[in-house]
Amino acid sequence: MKMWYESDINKNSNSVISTRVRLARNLSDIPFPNFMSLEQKNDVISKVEKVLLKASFIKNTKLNKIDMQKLNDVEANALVERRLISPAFAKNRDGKALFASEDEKISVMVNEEDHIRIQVFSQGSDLPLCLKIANEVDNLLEKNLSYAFDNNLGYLTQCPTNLGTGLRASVMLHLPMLQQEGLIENLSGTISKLGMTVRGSMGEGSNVRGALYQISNQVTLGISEQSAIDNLMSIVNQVIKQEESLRQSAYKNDAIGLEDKVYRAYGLLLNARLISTDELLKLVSLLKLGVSLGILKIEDSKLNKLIFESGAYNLNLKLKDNSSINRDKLRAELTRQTVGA
Amino acid sequence: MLCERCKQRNATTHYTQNINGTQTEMHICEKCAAELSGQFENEYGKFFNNFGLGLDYMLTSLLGQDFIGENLLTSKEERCPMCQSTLSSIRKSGNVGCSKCYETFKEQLMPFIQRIHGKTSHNGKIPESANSTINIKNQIAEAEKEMKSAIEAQEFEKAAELRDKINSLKAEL
Ligand SMILES: [Zn+2]
Ligand SMILES: [Zn+2]
Repeated sequence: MKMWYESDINKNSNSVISTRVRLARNLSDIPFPNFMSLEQKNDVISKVEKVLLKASFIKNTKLNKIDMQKLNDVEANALVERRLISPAFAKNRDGKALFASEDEKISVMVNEEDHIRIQVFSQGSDLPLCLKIANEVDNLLEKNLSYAFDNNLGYLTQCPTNLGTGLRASVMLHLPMLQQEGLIENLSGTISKLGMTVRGSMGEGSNVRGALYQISNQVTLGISEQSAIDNLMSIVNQVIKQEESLRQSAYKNDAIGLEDKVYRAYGLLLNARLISTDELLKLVSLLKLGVSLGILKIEDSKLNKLIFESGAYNLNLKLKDNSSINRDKLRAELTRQTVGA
Repeated sequence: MLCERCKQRNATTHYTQNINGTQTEMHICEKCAAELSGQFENEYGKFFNNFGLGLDYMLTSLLGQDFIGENLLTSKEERCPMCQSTLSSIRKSGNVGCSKCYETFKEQLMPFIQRIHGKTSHNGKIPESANSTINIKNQIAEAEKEMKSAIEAQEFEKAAELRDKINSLKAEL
């Protein structure tokens, strides 16, 4: 089974890694998860389960149930690394369940911060498709369950920051040149004035690894789903434009210098026998930059798969003897296979 | 300790950021704290300052400064009938206990909601079930208006008819 991050085709610029749409929903007449008993949590899980397990969505996709209580720490955190669940969802796993398609494109977290959180991922920036699928899941749940909804406040959520549409859409971007030029902070100020945020996708502040950033909408009340994703898309497109023009001028100014950097990264990735996550993300970032400038040719989806699956917990799942040196060794092997083929 | 954000000034504030349920903690300086929390110039803003932050950012001073506005709360606070939350428990956690809290504390919560979103009324998808409820509510409002003018015009028979209509619509809710 190919995961969504390897099977989807990225029709967009290679600066766009992936897109996620999330809808927050709650049932009426039951308190929010922070105030629920275990019994109530299990009751919500079985209600959602009844609807979801017999349903099928786009391209006949079925959802499977993952009982979070039955996972160990490694299995749960591997899901976090693949972005399928939030770190909080992995922590206290009693009374929580995940419903997910095999390719992890469509998923529903039950009893996270809200009773129901519908998530849809896609490669590239196909926000409309993500929203369409999320709505499909939402409509089905709504038909069978009674949602907490208010005419003025929209979908009622545990945190008031999600009131209204309960929609959080985010696009993961690779922005090496904006980062290098120190322009992210500037950008972040502008973007926040427009009701959106930019933050590091892997690591925060000055330690944003792999130049991976996430731009998402913040405002959910008083704005329609369509406008929210339209606004987000227009910001994303502008950011990409800036990033790409910086890339072009950097290449024009110092072609051999940039080629040297890219080929050195390529050489390391092709030959390293031990590699840490930090080093991997740094080198993959250079490689992606090289690919976008036509210096090298490597399928983007392969690199994205490497980014998603080379975290410590995902490697731990594959290792009998889990030590950091074994993980670095396995990571280097996977990297050679990915880059070399 | 140096501010973990700007790495320039002394950290005086403990900062917890809640990103989709993930808590990250850091120690930051006053200037960064102010930047992160936005501007709360007037008195009104000051009172709601901590609460507003509790929603997305919770700032508790390392220096032990008290919760702003605590004195404005009375001991016999109103409780939400469904989850027993009080306004101060909501303020402390930044989370609302249940959907009924939004009704119970509507007046007090609205300013924060406005602060977060800039708007206070939903403009997106409506569940079909609510759609029919909204429809009925609109019909009731309409009938009530008609009844009022019927009474004013002393058309009591018509008003009685409308009253029956309103009652049966209310039963559908
Ligand atoms: Zn600072
Ligand atoms: Zn309540």
